[in-house]
Amino acid sequence: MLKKIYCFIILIILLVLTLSTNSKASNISYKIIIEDDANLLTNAEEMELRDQMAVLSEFGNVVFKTTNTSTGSVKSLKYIQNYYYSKFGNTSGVAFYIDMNSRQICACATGGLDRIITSGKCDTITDNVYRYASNKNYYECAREAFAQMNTLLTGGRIAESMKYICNAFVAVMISLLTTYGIYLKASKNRKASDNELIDECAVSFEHTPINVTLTGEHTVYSPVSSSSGGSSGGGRRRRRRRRRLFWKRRKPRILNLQINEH
Amino acid sequence: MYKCPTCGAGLVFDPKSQQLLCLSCRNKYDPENVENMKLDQARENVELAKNSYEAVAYKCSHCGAELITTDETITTFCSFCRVGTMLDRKVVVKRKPDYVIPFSITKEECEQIYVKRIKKALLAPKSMIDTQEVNKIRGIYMPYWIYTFDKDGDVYTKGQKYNHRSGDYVYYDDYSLSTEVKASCQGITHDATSNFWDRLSETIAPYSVSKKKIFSPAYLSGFYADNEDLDENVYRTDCQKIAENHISNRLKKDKEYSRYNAKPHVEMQEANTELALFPVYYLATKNRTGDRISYAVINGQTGKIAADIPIDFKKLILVALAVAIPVFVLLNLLFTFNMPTMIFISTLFNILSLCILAHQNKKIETRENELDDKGLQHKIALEKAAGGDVQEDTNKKNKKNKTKGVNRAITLVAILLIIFAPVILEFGILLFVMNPALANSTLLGIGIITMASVITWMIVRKIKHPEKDTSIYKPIIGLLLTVALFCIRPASDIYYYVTSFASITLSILAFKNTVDKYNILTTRKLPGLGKRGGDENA
Repeated sequence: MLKKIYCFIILIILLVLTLSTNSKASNISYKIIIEDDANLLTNAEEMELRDQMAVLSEFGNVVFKTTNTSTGSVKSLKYIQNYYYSKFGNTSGVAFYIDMNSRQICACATGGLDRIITSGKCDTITDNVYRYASNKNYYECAREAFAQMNTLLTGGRIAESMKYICNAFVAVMISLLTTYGIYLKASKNRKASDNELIDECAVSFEHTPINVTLTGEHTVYSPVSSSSGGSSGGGRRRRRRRRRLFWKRRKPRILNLQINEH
Repeated sequence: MYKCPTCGAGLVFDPKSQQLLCLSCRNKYDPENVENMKLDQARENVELAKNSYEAVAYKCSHCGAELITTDETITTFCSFCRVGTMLDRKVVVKRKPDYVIPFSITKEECEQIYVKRIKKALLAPKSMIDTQEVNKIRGIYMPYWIYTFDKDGDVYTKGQKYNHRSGDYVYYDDYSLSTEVKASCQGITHDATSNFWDRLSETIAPYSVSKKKIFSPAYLSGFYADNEDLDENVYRTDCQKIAENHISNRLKKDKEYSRYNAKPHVEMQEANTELALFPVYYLATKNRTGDRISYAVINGQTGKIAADIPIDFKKLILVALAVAIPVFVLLNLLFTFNMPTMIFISTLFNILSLCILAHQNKKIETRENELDDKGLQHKIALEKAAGGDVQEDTNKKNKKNKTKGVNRAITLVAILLIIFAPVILEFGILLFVMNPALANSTLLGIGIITMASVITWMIVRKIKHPEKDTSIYKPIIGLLLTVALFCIRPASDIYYYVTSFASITLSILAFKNTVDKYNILTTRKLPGLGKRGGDENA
């Protein structure tokens, strides 16, 4: 009986927590940004796109950006990511970017949404919509991209034909190489080792105690690495002195001392 | 009747020179000496009778291999080249081996071992376990040299021990370590015939020499034997090294040697070399086209098998497709390859294909010229030395080669450029795609050129005739396609994907060549054992 009461209380607590989280989520107002610097959309298209993006704003901020100027050495993806962070920080959101200078499109998601719209999914979305961009139908391109993002966020699935074709090619090549490699290893004729040959021989071996005779001495130049050297150089890495080793053999001293240690 | 010691023809007394004259070779002999020689010959004949035995030899008129048997049964095929009905039969007197290890495994057991081995090889052609083929397994006594090495004397070794350090100098004491070693290593064996490839004979080794028996021709009943055509010096050094290493290692275990950082080396001397016949089951299988042959040999005493098993490409494809399914599922779960990654992967596959093909070419070159077989090399060298017109041929060839040399050099440079250019461009483009910021780095450029040069050198040095080897063109075309794509830089992604797919397809096609080359490596040209001489590649 006591157990049932505990379970009931836990259920109630969980329900309250869930409701409070949901209400919190719904309270957050996400923003929509459309920055068409490349003038790819008409005003009407922009309005329609905003409606499409509004659906996504339930989950996070939504950004659509186009440019026709160079982004320097910064890649398009990095550029839109930086842009998003400059506007919204680490909050949840998605962005779609058309770079007319390098003729690239890219999509990205951040702040929790990237767990659903992974970088792989972003690539798939751009693969699915790039044809619209190639046909200069930029509005349709953006609309379809946001629509596919929405599908993913609402638990749906999008077409990933390119992904499957790529993976199929790679899988075939990997499996061919793996199968061949394993077969090569397994069918290799292993030569008998020297020990195996000796094991089949009749070996006899004996030796007298070893005579050790001191014949001389030699020296080896081996400088002790110095720990001194100070910290001058403003954080520069101190160049390590090349260690020189050379042998200096002396004439044997008259030390033919017999050391029979046995 | 006195016979000429040189040619064996009859001798007649020549009154003019007062000597015995051979009418055949025109040599002259002192009558008194010939009498002594006759006595010596008689003694030699008695000795020869002791050390020899009579047998029937079947010589294959196709490959020249000779099989000896004491049976009266007629041999219908040659075990080495599998050509039938061409065997010449004659009675021969052979040198009696000292020992023999009789067959311990029956033919049926041997067949089972063979079938088990082939069944384990999943990609082996079905024809290899065809009952008719398996029945062709034949028991052959192969000649082996049994070496005995010994050492009876002092072994001196230099050693040293740390004494002290003074400033920048370390002082060591030098020592001389001496000991008297009495060691013997009896029974290191190696085959004594060039018909038996070293790679196979070394795989089915070792034989338990302690179970050897004094030779009697009766052991040959029901089996065949091969001739020894390599003298004991061919493999002596190799076997001596094995004995020396073993004894040196045993001596090294003495604590004194580790105490004085000494590495003893015991030099052994050859004490005795005996000839023996060892049991081997031999099976030669021809490939589909019948121009190449693969061997399987089984140790007739221990059952250890060595088999060259080619790959059935159809089976490989089926197995690979079966493996590809889980790999595909796994890739779908973990990765989504975008366009630059696909280009990168296809480039990697092409470079890998090039490297594998080049490596195989090098191996084929060695194998086809039998450079990996010391015995065969020795025999070829002997035959070349015996041939008088070899020098002339070589001179003619040198002249021809000089004229061909210039053309070959031009082709080689062209091939070098064809491989080098795509490789260098690939590296540059890929790194640029990954990080454009690096594009201006001079160091990076030098790095790319070095890397490309190393890869190109690695590939080309392994291909003796790159202009003739069409298989390497596929991955090179794959690389060139990628380079062309980056030069054109089309806007649409589809071109990049199609290029990468085409590039991977080319490396898959090149893989077919890899399998073909592997099959060349696991088979051999039909042997011309008795006909060898001169340059076979001419």
